[in-house]
Amino acid sequence: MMREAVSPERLAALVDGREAPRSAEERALLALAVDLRGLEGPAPESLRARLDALVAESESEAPARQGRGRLASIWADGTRRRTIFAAPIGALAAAALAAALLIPSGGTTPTGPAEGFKATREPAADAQTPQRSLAPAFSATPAPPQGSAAPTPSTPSAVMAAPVTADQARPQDVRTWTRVHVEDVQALSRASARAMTTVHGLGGFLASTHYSVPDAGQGENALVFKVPPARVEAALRGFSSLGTVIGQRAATVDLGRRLNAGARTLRRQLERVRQLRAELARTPSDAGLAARLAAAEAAYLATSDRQNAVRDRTQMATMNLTLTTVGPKSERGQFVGALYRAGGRLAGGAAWVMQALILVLPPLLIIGAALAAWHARRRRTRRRLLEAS
Amino acid sequence: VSVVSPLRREDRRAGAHPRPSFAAVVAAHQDAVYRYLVHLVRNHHLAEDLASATFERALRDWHRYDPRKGTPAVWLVQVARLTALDHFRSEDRRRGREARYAASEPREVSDAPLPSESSPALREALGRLSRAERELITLRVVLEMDTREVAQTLGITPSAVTTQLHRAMTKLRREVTRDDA
Repeated sequence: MMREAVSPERLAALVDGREAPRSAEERALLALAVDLRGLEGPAPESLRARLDALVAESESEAPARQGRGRLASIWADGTRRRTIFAAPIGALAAAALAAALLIPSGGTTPTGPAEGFKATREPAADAQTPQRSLAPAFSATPAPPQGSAAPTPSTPSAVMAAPVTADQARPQDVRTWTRVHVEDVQALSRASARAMTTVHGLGGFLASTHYSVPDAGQGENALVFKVPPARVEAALRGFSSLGTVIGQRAATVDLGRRLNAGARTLRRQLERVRQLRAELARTPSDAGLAARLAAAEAAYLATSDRQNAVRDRTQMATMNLTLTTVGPKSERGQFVGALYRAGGRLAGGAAWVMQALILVLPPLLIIGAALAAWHARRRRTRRRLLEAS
Repeated sequence: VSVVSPLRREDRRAGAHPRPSFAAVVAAHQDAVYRYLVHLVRNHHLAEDLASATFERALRDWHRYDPRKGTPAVWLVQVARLTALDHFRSEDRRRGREARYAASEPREVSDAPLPSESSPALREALGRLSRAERELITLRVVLEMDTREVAQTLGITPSAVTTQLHRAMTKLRREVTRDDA
């Protein structure tokens, strides 16, 4: 006998009671459903008694359960739940501890560039001469406390790290530029006096000074000293003790070749003067010869003056000292500087987060993979158990 | 034919799903849980034990029940299902151990046919279905859960519930007819 097929949707509607059976097959299926509902009776009395006891027990324990917090409830749920709850926290704590131990403190803190010496822009005497910047050796050297006569021990060692000592065997022109920050106008005055005293003690002298106090709070004194080249280092040490060195530069120009060339020129011009004088002695009435002699003598004197000037430059080093109450300024503007600092902090934070992720991510991935595998295995087991009859 | 039990109607009337007391939930659903377990394990004594274990477990996890996520009936059946699966799993392991040491020992028959009190043909036919098929028929037909609730309980889609129910009922009808013949 051929049965009339009942669609799944139609069967669902029949089971829900939304539609009435129309065919014999539908009536049979509905009758089967009714038989199924009547197949088993209610729960037996023994189960009801056990459940009543359970409910009575739960009501007596209810206040204690309600007073328990969420975490405490999870903790009280059994060993498996405790493990699932505590394992990620333990892994994170271990990773944080490892990060704290392994990541070097301050390793990623961005540092700004060293404050260079920019205040004095006097060019070197000879463009071909080598120049040395001493800014790194003196970057933000702290000022000694007031009343302390001697410089701090670290300051001389910093100077010695980059010595500015003229080679006594060679004629050299030594020039230095130092910018020192002092606290206020009173300190500016005291530092100026101490600088002059220091230089005088070293056999030098003050060549020029320009003291300006445009308003009550700020001021500057630009001093130029002449110091014997052998005492330049000692003078720099003395300058660094006046306040906070915020910039320093030195230039050494070798004048040997220039002096030698001048000497050769002088000898040639002297020979020429002697020759003209001898000729004029033979013909005293020659006016043209007398004029050439006068020009040659003038040229010789001019060359001699220049040679003496060059030689004078090798005798004394020029030391420019600027004492100022204005602190070091950032090369960047206020806005750009703030942006730079914010960017640095952001980069530092990002680096920390990346390092933490490198440490935390692998254990988290392993835990996630283990949980996924556990769930898949559980699903497979359930399917297998339910497929049995 | 009344297809919606009074308990189910009560559940659906709850509407906003206020959180009931555990005692009320036990009183309202102990029969449903028991019938579900009887159909699944096909042993009255075992079903009674599992129902008791189900409600103990439900009491322990009662703080985790969220009325917004489903009715108490759905939640209790889920708990009963986990309890039954745990039982099946432990039985499976036990049988495996026993099979290793005493291959000739007869099986413990937790899934043995129920005593034929009524409708022996229907019981026989039910026994030839798989647990999954019996479970689906129990939830959808005996406990009168709607398609969405069954899908939520079993973790499958509503269309899968409809299709699988049709397949299971057709198979049951075929088995019953064969027995009659």
